[in-house]
Amino acid sequence: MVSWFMDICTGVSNIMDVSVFIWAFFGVLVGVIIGIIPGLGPAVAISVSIPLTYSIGPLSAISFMLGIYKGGTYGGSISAILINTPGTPAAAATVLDGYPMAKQGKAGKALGMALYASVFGDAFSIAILCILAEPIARVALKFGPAELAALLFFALTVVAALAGKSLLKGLIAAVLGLMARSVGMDSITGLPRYTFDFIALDDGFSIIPMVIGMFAVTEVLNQIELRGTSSSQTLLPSSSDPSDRWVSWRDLKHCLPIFVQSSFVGVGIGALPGTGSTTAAYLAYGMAQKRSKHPEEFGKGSIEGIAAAESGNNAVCGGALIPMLTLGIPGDVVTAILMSALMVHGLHVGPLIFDDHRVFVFSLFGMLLVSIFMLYFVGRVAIIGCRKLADMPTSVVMPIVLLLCVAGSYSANYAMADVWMMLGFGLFGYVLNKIEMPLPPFIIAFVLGQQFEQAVRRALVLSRGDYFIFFSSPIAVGFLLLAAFSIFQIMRSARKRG
Amino acid sequence: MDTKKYMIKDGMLGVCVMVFAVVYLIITPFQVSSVTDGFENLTGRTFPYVIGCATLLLGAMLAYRSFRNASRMQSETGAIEAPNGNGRKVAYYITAIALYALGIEFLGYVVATIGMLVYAMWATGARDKRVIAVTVAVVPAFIYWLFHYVMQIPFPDALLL
Repeated sequence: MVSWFMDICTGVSNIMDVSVFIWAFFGVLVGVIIGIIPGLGPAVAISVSIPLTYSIGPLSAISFMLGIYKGGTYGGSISAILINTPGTPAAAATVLDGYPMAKQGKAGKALGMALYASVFGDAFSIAILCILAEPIARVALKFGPAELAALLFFALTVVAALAGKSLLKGLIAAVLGLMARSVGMDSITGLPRYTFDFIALDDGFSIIPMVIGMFAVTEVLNQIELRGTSSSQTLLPSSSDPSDRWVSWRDLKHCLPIFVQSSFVGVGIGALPGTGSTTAAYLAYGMAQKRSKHPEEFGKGSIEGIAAAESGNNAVCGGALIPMLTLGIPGDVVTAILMSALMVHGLHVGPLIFDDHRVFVFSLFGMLLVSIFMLYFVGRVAIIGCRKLADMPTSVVMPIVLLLCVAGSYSANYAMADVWMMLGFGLFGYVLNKIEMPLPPFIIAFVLGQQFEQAVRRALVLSRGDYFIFFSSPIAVGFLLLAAFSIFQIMRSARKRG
Repeated sequence: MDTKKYMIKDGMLGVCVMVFAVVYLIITPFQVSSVTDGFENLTGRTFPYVIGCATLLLGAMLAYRSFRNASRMQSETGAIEAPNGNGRKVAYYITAIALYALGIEFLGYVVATIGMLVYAMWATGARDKRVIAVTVAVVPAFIYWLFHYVMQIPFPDALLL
């Protein structure tokens, strides 16, 4: 314990080198800006920055890229709250309560809560990374396809919690999301499904254009319909209540248990390869809604919703580094790119990293700890700058948002087909709004559907078609029991609502 | 709002969902291969069939529940809610976005974006020519620079220019 603590102190002292500090700060700043712009995201920024880091040391390079990762994950919440456009797919859960709060004149409070939740989730996951990286990696190794399928089944039951007023409509939206996810190449057989011989559909529907279309384009169309051509209206109303301008200590104290619960979810999900921050955000959101004393407020401007979504998705950052560093297995797309960047700089991750590169690893931990404060500072500055958006007229902001959405959708795969998908999903989202069908179940089923199907089919291939594999592991049984309990609670509350 | 009119609308929605599910189940054998994963009980069609059947069941439940509740309600009286007349503007806006996407491919990003920005600002109520001019001069160039040069995301070449 003492030697571990000394190693952390050595790590923190190593990053006090001015150049490392500056690169880390610059990374967080770039990450936040990139995260705000819909469709870009930290993965694109990190992959572009790899060649830029050839001439700087490995610690500075990795600090820069990790800064982009953390900043980008947080930055998506700003556009999610102010313009109903999640900057990253993970911020789609933040939209559910962030934008309604902004429309009530509480944009400042929503942005403040998103910042504190993000910083808490980030700090929590880094603390877990520093202390428990190796034990968590060993548990993550025990997760095979059957355990992953059980976990994702439990996550899918969260869908029902997001159904809102009508459980049936929510479930219909969810199965439509599963249908949308089945378009594209079958990942097990490699054969196309529902592509109708369109090459553009071979990879299925991309999540970035889908999320941008269903939130941003739908909102633009709703604004056109509701407001017509009133150019004098500002994007968001302002509130006369001073307590709406920033989050209070009372709000933070109230949401502290949500921060902790959601951060645990984020670290756990991040440590599992192939899941990611979108799954963590929605799962944390759904669990917070179930535990809340006022679940009916979720989706209408509940500060607890923002707290859960943001702490969940930011906690993934540290969690995803656990399998990457200790096992050489990337937790998500961003860590896969980071692994390649580490290799370029001569560092090989895996079980021996603590022996071969101990100083580097603890310097990295030190940088991650210090960058928590950088994230808070950059976030405060970004909020002040972006807050001006709310005072601008919709006739200027909405068209610019639309242009960024088109460019962001295109940048997902460098294909105009994604722009058409964005438009198609925008129309689809508009129609769903008209028939009062909720969007969140569609999106979460879309996100989880393919992983769930893959996990089930891989498990059955391993067990040679025997379904008992899902009941043979205590981890899988545990998650299935949780799912059964979740379904029971949902049926009970649906019956109470009548 | 649980009025009779909304119940009937939900019922029709349930019927549409059922029709969609039936179509989905019918086209599945033509769009999805029957190659197994190595075991007869599992193919690429397994999940689509499960999803299709679930959709059919849920649509039927929604239709049944809604029509049953509607039959128990009395018809509401009073003025019918008139549309606000902006539905046509929405249709024009959607068409404009589609033309913008085509414009990017044929005219290039900057030219198409300038045209779209002018229309979009006018459609949302901007009438100050100076504001429109400044926005049109700055925003497309900035976005092009950010994506094309900084993020190295090449926009498609203009096919006509």
